[in-house]
Amino acid sequence: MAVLDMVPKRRHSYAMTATAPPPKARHRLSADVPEATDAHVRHTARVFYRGVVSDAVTAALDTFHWIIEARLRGKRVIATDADTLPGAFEEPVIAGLEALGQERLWLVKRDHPWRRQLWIKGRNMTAGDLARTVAIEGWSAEEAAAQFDLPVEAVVEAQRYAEIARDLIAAEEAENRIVAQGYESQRAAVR
Amino acid sequence: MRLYVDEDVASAELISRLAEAGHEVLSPLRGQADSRCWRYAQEQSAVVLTMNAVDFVALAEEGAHHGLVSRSAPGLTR
Repeated sequence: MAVLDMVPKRRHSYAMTATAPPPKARHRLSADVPEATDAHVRHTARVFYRGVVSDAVTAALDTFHWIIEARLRGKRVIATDADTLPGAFEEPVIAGLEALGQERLWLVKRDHPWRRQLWIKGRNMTAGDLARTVAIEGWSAEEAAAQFDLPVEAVVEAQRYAEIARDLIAAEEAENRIVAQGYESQRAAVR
Repeated sequence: MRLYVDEDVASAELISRLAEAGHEVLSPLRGQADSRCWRYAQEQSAVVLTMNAVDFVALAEEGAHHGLVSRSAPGLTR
């Protein structure tokens, strides 16, 4: 079990006075969670909240409560495409991610025979390839931006998109892997 | 070896390591179609290094070329 600390550690020093200390604006919450949950929370924090675990957990819980309240009021919580929205609907606002999926500055669609994921604007590089390279190399968004001469915002947008479009990107990567392995076998047979 | 490093793998670290290892590294043509990049690499007698196997294998199968190194997974500097 991993211990998940939600609030970054801070040092406090109090003078010995008669007055009571002011009430704490933030509280520490620790929870024993499975390793996978720990990794998932930290990954979410890194991708969406610049590594701040407390912000990620707070936003996730707020969204979870929104869903529960909607269900308790007899509502259905579903996902649909923007062009098939019903006449009346409620939508949660996720703190810090208000613009997520609304407008992309650095990612674009491209007319490609088989790839459907988004590309880095002005580059012959998919968002998935960039995000995966960053993850494997263990680079921060800033380091990746320097490595590929890209704005940091483009790297962050690619990482967030890669999280959302995980299945699509995985399918395209699988297709790529099959072709690469086939080509390798074919070349080996020729040699 | 002369290498054309495709944009999807062209990190500063990889280019630097390849150069340190004695390779002549051609910088990628930014934002250009794969066919244009492939043609440029062939004109320069360079081996193409890319992560994009599907598209470059198709180009390689069109005829003789100077070489293709395709990795299906990134992380080439590791």
